Amino acid sequence: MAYAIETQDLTRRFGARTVLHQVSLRVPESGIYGFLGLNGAGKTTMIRLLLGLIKADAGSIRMFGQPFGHELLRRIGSLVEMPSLYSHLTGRENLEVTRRQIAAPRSRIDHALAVVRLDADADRLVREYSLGMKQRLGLALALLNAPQLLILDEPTNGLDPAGIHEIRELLRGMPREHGITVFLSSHLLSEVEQLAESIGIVHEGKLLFQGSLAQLRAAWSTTHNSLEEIFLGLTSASSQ
Amino acid sequence: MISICHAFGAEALKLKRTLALRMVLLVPVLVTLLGLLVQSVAVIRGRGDLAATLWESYTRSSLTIWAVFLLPLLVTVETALLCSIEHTEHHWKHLFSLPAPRYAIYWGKFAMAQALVLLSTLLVAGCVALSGWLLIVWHPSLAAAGAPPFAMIAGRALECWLAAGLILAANLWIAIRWPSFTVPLGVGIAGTFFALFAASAQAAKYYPWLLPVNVLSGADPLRMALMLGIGGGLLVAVLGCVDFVRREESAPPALGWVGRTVWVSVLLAFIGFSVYLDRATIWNQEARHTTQFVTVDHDVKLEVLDWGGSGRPIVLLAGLGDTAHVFSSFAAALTARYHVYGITRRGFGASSAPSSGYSADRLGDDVLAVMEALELTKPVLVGHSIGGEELSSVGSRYPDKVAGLVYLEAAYSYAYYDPARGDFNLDLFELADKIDRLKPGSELRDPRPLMQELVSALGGFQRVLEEQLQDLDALAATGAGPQSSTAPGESQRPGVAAARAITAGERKYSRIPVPVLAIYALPHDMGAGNPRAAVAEARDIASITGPQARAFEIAIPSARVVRLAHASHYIFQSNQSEVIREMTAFIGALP
Repeated sequence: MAYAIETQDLTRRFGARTVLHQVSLRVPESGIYGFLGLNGAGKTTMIRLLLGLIKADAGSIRMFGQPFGHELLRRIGSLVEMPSLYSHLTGRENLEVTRRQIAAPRSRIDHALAVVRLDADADRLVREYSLGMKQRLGLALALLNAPQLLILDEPTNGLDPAGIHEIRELLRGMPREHGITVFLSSHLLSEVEQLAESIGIVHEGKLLFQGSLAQLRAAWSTTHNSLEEIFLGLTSASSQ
Repeated sequence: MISICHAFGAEALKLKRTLALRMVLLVPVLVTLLGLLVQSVAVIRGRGDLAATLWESYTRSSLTIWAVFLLPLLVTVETALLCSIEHTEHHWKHLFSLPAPRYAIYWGKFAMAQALVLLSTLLVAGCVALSGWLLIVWHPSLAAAGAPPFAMIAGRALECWLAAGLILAANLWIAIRWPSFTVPLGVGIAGTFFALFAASAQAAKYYPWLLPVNVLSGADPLRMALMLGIGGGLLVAVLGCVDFVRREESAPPALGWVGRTVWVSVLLAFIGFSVYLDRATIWNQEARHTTQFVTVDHDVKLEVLDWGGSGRPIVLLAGLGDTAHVFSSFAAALTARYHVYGITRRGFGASSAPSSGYSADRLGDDVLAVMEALELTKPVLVGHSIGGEELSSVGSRYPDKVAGLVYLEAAYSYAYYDPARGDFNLDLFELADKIDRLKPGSELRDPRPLMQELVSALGGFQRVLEEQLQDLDALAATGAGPQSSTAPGESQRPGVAAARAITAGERKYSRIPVPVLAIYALPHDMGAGNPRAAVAEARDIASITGPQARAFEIAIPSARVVRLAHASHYIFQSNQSEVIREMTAFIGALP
């Protein structure tokens, strides 16, 4: 099986605290992978490692079969928590700033705006945008370099139900329509359940489960009624 | 390199609708308004001859306002703003996860900061030219200043910009490292204001925030400012870039041991520096100079000022009772073309005051000793008033050691003795000496030749004595005289004993075989409110300065004699631009 992301015993410490402990991810290509965990479980640290924003203390990262390096960032689009937007610029200008930085073709801007359905509001100042619109613009930024892999940290955090729905629909189409692998983190199981085919559950820096949604259900269905219970059972058992 | 251009393009777009861009336009306007204010006051007061030096002085004063204060603040604000664009919305994580190299982001910011300050600099130069031209239109008396010298103004302004490279690089590093806006702003403002106190210290030419203004104060500080501004700026920028590339994008900016060492040493250097700089402020009126003491004789050290400048060395010698500091503004104006030194003669100011050694040739030897110590080859000596005595002493005895002599109200009898006219002072001392030798107890075998000399000398002296009496009567009547129109700057209280010794030690010089420029105030300015001024001036022309200038002109064939009407005895202050014009022409024609 081809993996978009493959980590081997990835470990990261902040001072004396081990935030990630020997995590070995397997993210299949052309699908949606949900990286689940409670707040503070180590999800954001993992995403920072995957984007090269911080360095691992031990372990290795491979993407598309290659060891991680700066070159691989060309094939990745990312959105970490709240999108980084210049509120004094318009939506289109925000995209143009990043487009210039990475020297992407001009046509990518209109394409990205169309994908996130922001064409009509592209020339308004970002400070007038709603939270959902900002999140969609952040997604457009991530799509600018025509990535093969989208790495998203809590992409629906803070959105109202309509916004959540919008983002979810956008992401659902990514693998099928654009051939993009999506890796997203979330603390909401219900969220991941509706989108992801594969999931990984992380708790206190350790990977407790990794596999398809069906595997998870099959393994626990005899003792737990819902995924919610499985998740809670897993995390509380580990804590003890 | 291409990725840096891409980053620069991205930076340009980020500036849209920002304060950073508006500051670039606003600051030059502020500089111009302040510069205009200063210059207008000078024009309205009508001090001195403004037209000749208008562009020079207007450019200097405007660029000083710019370089000492507003340029460093602009650098601070721009670097802080450029980085706060990224800090406020946590853009670093987005920038760092883009497939663009990190160093490109850093150099893109550096280039943009430089470009903004450059743009502002060019606007300042343009505004100075335009407003100076408006001044000329407004005040027709300035018409002689001519068209704006664009190349000169822009050149100076660009040098200021280059010299600001070090503070720009340092501020950018600080601004990029600390998310809080107050850290870079605090450092920049503290540095700028601290500069006000550091300005006149010896080490001022190394102080980062003074580098831009040092560009305007002579060749040596200029060279150092450009070297530190460009070289130091690039070095700090490279260090900042290395730090930027290595750092992890995570919440608190943690310092590695290298970073910690760098910052601690910078801090210690800063504290050490502030302990070292103790006195003086930029507001003192004196032009920047360095001071050294040169031993010229046993236990005699002279204060020698070096105002810097590039070109032929010239040495300024003050009048009786003055020190080299009297030339402060005159010297500063000369540094544009020459390397200017000044000597305070023995007995005055900070120089040693021995009990003896005040004869004309001993004082001339002092000047020669300084020339030798400073390794000045064939300088031009410029003397004011009694300084003419040292000029003639050196020029008559060692004509090969100087390129030329400039007598500023200095070619009087102590510098050139006209036998036809005599001189009260010189003749009196000579007569007294002869009489002393005839006194009983002297070992003269045959006193007759001396007695004959005395008979002929007494005849001449009677005429000199009568003239001196008339002069004193006239002086008492007018209540003013040439020597009484002393200008400001005579702050040093003359060493009375030294002054007496110098008067007693005068010599008769009659041959000065070197190129000479002598500038006289003829007639002297006798004071505007003086009812007898016309009479005094007529006397000055007919029997005092007039005949002396004529005699000098005839006796010294190598001399160019210039007479400036209604000038003060301190002619280099009252008629600075004319004196400088004459000197430039004279020195320019020297081999």
